[in-house]
Amino acid sequence: MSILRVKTLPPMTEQTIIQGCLQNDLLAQRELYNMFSPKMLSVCYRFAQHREDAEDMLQEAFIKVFTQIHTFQNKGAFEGWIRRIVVHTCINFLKKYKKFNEHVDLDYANNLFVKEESIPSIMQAKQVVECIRLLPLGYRTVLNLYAIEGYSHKEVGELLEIGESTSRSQYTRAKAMLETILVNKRIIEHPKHELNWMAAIRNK
Amino acid sequence: MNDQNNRDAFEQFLTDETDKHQLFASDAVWANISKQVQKEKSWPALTIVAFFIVIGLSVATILNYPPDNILAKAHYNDSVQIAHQKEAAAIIASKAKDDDLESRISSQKITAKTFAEIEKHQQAVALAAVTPTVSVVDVKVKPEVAVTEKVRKPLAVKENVLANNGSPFTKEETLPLAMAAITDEVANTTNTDIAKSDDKIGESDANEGVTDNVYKDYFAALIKKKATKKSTRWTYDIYATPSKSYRNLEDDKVRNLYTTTSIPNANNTNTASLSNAVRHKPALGSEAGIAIGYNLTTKLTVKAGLQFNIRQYYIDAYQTFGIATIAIVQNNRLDSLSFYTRFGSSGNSYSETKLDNRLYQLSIPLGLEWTAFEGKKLGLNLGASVQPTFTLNKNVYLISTDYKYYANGASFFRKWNINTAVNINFSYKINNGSKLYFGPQVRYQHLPTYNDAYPIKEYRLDYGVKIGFIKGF
Repeated sequence: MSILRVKTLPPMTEQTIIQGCLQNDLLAQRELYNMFSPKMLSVCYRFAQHREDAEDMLQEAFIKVFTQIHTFQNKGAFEGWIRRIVVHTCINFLKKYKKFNEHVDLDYANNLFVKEESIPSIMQAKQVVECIRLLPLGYRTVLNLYAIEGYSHKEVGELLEIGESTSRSQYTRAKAMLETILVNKRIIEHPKHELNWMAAIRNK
Repeated sequence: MNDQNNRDAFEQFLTDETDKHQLFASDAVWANISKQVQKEKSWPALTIVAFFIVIGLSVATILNYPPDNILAKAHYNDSVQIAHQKEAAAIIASKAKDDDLESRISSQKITAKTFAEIEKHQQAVALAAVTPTVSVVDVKVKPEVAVTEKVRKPLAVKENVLANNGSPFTKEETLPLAMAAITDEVANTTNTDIAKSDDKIGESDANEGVTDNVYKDYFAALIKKKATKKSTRWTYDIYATPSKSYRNLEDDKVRNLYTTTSIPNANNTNTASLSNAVRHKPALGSEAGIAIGYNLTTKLTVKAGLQFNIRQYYIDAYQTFGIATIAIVQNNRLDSLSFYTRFGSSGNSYSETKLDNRLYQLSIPLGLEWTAFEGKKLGLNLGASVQPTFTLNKNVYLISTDYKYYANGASFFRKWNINTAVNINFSYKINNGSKLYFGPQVRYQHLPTYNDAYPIKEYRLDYGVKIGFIKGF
């Protein structure tokens, strides 16, 4: 009776996946999708109004990733390249239907009726994301782009086709509103004392 | 991008928290992406089925109403009509001549010359009655007239056939194709046939003269003879088989490979056997196709055709979330591939769901059929066929190596496969030698549904009832 030697092959590296995707290999594409889709769907979810919209955005973005992967030049992080495609896809998706220069009174946040069960308390990250999604679309988009994705106000203005100053004012209002929501949800405390508020984060 | 140094603590907090957040997309997202990226063309199943139905109906229509018969019938009708016209014209002319004679006789100018004319006329009539009919086929005439003469005067044709070495027409090249066919029939008619026809005509002449019915029978007999002579060994067959699909799963041969691997596998789970983990319900599928048969002997027919199959079964699954890990076997080595999935093999009753493993296939059945019994109306046939099969879609679910989850099986799917089918048919003869038949059929898939890399082997088995129609060309 022969003894079979079993050895598990190492997982595919990022470079191997890219090479496979360049050759339109389905397994490599699937691996790439498995690797990045959870994080990218979260990005889409923060921008989208509904979960279904988020999945549509993700689908469109990954099709762009696979069809334009030959333009990736290994100059930066591959994840960052994918993320930029995802963000641009989300913005283009929203542009079809919405305007981003709306103004909402800050009292909006105080009047928001945040049901306890509407924000799953499984983990804080999820709570924070759900709080961001409570913001009006224009505020949310600017906040997502500036505070989380790291775009400058100038870039945000160009992306959303609004003025740079509008982006700044939108962000200021969005930030204040989100702070209020987070305080209402007791995720953070003392939002006015910026120097110490990090220490006040619950469950950290 | 903004300067990271300018980011305040709140922004950093948001970035950190959102980076931790992950969501998992539904399977449909990947399915759509892969479809778009791989440029997979959706198979126009309905169009293809409609195409085959139209082709089948057209062939059946043409074979049931062959143009030769239509043309022959048309010529026959024309010839009978022309014959009637000629006969009527002859009667009118004869009557006119008699009237003329009577008018001359009744004019109170009866002389010896008058009696002489009457006698001369009577002699001419008597002479015409005993003079043999002269064939007109050597004269250049219109084709319709030639046909008329041939139809009405088979005796003359016979004489002419003998006189012209079997070719009754000297100007055959001027005749249309359908007429040429009729000419062939007459030329091929044996002396016995002609003698029989002569006898028949002679009897008719003796009793009530040459009637249209005699010629009609004679002509119909010729056409029938032609049809009988041309009954070929070729047949065509149109059929459909409603069937139910079952499957058999095996992974015994690779289980020993799992002993030293860290890949989640069946040896690590409590599941006793694969059949306990996988719960599947057979679903109704169908096969439909056309085939051409050739009778090698009176009892044995070889057949080839084209067949469209729908095979499906349902999997009882549960909505859950997890990572389905599939072990991949390559040269007796194991690798693994993981898929996010929403379907598991166990769960509570609230999350029950049903997965449909449905395949659309195109087959080329090549087979033999043996007639075990053939009565006057009823018959019994045994058939077997080998069917190279191409699967048109790959929307299937397979079970993970640890039997816990179901994942999309497109990556492992085997496009080409081999099936064999055996069937017993009870047949019933209807008009024109065609047959209706029905009977049980078993169809087995020889190669596993998935390729060699997937360690669990699936073999499909269909049980169905074949219903069909056979007709000779």
